[in-house]
Amino acid sequence: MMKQKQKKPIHWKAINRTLLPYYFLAPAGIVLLLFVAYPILNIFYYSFQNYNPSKAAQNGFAGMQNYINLFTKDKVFLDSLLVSVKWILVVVSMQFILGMIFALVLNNNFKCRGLARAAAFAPWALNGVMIAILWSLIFNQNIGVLNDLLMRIGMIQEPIAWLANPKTAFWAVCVAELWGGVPFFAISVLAKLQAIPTELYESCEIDGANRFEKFRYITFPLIKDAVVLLTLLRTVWEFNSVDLLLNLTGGGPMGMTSTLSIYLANQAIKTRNFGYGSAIGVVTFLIMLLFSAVYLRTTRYQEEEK
Amino acid sequence: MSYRFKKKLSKIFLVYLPLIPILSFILFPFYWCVITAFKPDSEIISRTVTYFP
Repeated sequence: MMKQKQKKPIHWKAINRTLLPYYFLAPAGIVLLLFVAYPILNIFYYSFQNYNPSKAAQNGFAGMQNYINLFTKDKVFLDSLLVSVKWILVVVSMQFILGMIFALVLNNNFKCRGLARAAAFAPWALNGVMIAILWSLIFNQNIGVLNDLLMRIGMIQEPIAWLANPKTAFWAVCVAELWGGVPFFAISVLAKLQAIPTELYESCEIDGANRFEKFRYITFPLIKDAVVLLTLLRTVWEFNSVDLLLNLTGGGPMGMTSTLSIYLANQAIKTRNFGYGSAIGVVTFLIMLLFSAVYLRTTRYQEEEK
Repeated sequence: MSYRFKKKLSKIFLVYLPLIPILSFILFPFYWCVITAFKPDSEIISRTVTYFP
């Protein structure tokens, strides 16, 4: 009898001990649920609705109609998707190549190295709208400095409207974005390069490796994980970025710079078609999710080389 | 060619030569930003571009 009674009571102390980590996680978890999970789920909810404050009479459940319209009737959506892919490919690869060169150069020992590093980081301190204003001043057809410089060198005969010309608008925005994004790669890769112990290079030199071999067999394998993560982050970032595009061209001449995010912003915020905008948002979200999974798998992120 | 000279040459080609175009690309917009701030409005919107305030 006594034994049974002693077994019965619940051991709160033990339960509390196993639950203790969750108590500590709870504040952060609640904040995440409120500010991350709820908006995302809300987007999913609205994507199945007709929701347009200016046409309140038609609001209500729409089923798959938004998605059907998106994939069958809407030609602009596919065009924007293509522009998005082009935008990501061009911008991320340009930023990566230039940032990598910059980091490799800054990793050497030379005079005024601190100054050069500070300069490399400088564009990161400006916000997107500020960069957009600065570059729209440079690209301007009549008062822009770029036209003046090129005409002085003799590369062009008359001023070009860089941001209004369908042929150049996309590349002009790319250059501005490149300028704003180089520090991200330069600084992160540089930090990773600094962490490589010099003994590795010394032993490599004793083995008779040249510069290229040193890069191929020492530097690159050691920074590979960082490079994979950085390019992935930057890709998602550029896919979602609207600040420069919206302020420089706003989707630009004949939709040449209208990426999916710009199209989404125009649909949801300018035309107030929130249901349709949400459907676009869901599609972009799924695309990026799929891309991240495939990218991490194919690059073998954090896997030992066999 | 002595070892030191070779090292100096490689430094010029691997550090300073790539550094100059990249740094001018990064720093020129800042310079432009600063001197535009010092120009009077009429000078900013005039067609003749001035490089020094």
